[in-house]
Amino acid sequence: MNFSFRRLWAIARKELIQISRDRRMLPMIFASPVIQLTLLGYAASFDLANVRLAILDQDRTTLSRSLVDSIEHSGTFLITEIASPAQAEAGMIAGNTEAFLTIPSGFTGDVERGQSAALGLVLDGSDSNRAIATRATLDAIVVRQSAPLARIALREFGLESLALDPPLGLVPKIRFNPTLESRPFMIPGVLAMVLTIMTMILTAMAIVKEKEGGNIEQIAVTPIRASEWILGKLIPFIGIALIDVVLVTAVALLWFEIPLRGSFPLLVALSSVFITGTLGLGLLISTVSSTQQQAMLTALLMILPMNMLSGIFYPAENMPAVIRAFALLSPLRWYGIVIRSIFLKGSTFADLWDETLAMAAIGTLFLSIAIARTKRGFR
Amino acid sequence: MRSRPSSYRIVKALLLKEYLHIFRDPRSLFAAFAIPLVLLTLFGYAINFDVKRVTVAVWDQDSSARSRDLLAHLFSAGTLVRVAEVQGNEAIDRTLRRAEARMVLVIPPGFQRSLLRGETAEIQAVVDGADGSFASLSLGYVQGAVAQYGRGIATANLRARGLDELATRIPAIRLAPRTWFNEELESRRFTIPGLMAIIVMMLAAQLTSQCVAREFERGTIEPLIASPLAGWELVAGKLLPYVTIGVGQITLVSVLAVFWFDVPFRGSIPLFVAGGAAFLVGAMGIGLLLSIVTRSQQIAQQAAVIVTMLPSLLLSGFIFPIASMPVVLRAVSYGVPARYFLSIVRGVMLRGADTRALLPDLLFMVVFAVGITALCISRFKKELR
Repeated sequence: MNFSFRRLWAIARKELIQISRDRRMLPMIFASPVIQLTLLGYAASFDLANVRLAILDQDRTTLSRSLVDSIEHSGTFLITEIASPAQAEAGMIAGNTEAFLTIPSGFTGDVERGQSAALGLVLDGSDSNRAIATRATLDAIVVRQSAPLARIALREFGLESLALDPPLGLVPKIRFNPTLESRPFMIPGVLAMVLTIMTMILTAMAIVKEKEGGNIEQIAVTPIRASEWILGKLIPFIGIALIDVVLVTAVALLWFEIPLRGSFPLLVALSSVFITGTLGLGLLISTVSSTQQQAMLTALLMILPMNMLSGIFYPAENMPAVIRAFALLSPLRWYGIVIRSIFLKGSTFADLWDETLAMAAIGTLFLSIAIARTKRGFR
Repeated sequence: MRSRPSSYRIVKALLLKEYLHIFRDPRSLFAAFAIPLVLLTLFGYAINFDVKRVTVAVWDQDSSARSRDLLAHLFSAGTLVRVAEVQGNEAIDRTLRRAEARMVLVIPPGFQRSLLRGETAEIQAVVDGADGSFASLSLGYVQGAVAQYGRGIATANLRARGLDELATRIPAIRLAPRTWFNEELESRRFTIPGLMAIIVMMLAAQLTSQCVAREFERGTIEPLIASPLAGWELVAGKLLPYVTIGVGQITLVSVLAVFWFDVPFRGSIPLFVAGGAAFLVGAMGIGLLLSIVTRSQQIAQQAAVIVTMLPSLLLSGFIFPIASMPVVLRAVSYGVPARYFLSIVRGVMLRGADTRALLPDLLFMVVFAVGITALCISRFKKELR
């Protein structure tokens, strides 16, 4: 018997009716992605802020005060002035102090004698990137304070003409995100993760529930083909997931005001290719599992690595080659590039056709395996 | 009429029954211990924030001896990886837009001439700023490498003019940084304790999201309703066996972290275990609550994934520092149990923090655990009536 669109359509309609009957599902399907992105969008930022810095000023001169002031003015630090190093140490161990700056006594004296003066800085290195960024921010402040002192000294030597500028300069030109804020990059990433989770948990239960209920035998004796059944299950979820795509994109655009430089229709079109892949993976998990619990655990064990290894938060360049190769099978690996390129770089389909092709191929692969497995179950 | 047996005996009987359930399914039990080990090993190798490999395209318009020497210097350390040669602004744009390189270095014509004349020669770094954090770290690296090369030239120039002694008489303020707890500033030291907390959290809520819903679905809840059991006895009987499994999981992942990934363990083991157990009560309480409220395995599990996965990853301080979050969100983070355990794992393992140092986190965690258990008990009573 041939593939029939009429049967496919009938199954899809039945599924849709069944989903809309379960009132408990509706808030989960539509409200939770919006709430999640709204809440988590605020968290997703690497920008350096509120670094808890303890300062021990043993010098107490105009110069040391002006240094503390300029650190305070940077707005990056929450400063507590302390009286003894022991206080800072306790704070570091308790985790209340992230960095500890000592201005030694004799600091101003050294500078006035024309010597170099070192400031002691102790960093909590646990969060290595935060420590590196803290060090760089403080370094820049100190260099700014130091430059006029050097100029004054040179004037005294009568060597003003001597350029102190280094003979080599690097002019950075930052594309796509000139302020280097992390939010415009992270929010599309979180959006992609929310979609991955929603789509996979929706379909991971779809088939196995029928198995547990014993319905699969009944369907096997009808003229319904495995491909019609699987695709019929898939179609309503594509519709639901597309509504989710529009909802979460709206949150990113209207609530977080992330600029969308590319085209909205392109975003929706490529998102639908992506969700077909993740929904397909959910269905595949559902066909190979024998209980709901197994299906859910398998889904969880796929979602977690997908989120961690797809380059959304952690640079894919840093991963071992084997893991990078595995990640190529994750639709999120490609969608992460797609969504960020469309949002931030205004990329067009010409830039993204290979990612799209990869997502389509992966989706087709998952669905074909799901159909093949179901066919075996029908016999 | 026979009197009701003591609560102790009831809970013991319930525990036995639940353990029997668990041990009768050795595959699931094996999975409960194997999964965290596999995940931690996988992520432990894969995940780090270190800027170790930055792909760079080059447009050398000068192509002189000096420009080649500078490029050789920049690429010698292996952090910058030369992936392409480009020409023209359009090519730069395309390279960045297609993410073929993170950065394009442009050396303008006349670079060597300016250097030889003692003028300031400028080179350009066009950076893909989309990933702001990665961009600023890699830009910082390039700036440092260029400055180092520049200092070499500057010293040579001063020496040529017989002025190198002068340099020692110009005052400068500099930082003398030292790093504690993670001297090499390896991000792995930071992510692995975090991963331990995330993985245990996810599995904890999954495990318990099943247990009551299954009884509802199979109708075995009816005999429980008819029995004279108190709500708290039932909750304790359901929760405790899983807490012991969770303590086993925590022990295994900690051993893996310390002996395989060389994460230091500087604090006290009893504090760590006690903190872990209190965390597990809260984490598993969430699963149990969902199980009681939804009465459906499917919905309880789906809800457990939604409620635990992204919040644990994003609101616990695992990836993004809580200190940088807006006030409201910092308050919300207290509702994410992974947050507590994360700060205990990192505090005890990396910083050697003691009970007093971790007191606020421990207190909040106990409050959370008690609160969620109380909620489970009261909902359970309501559902049973």
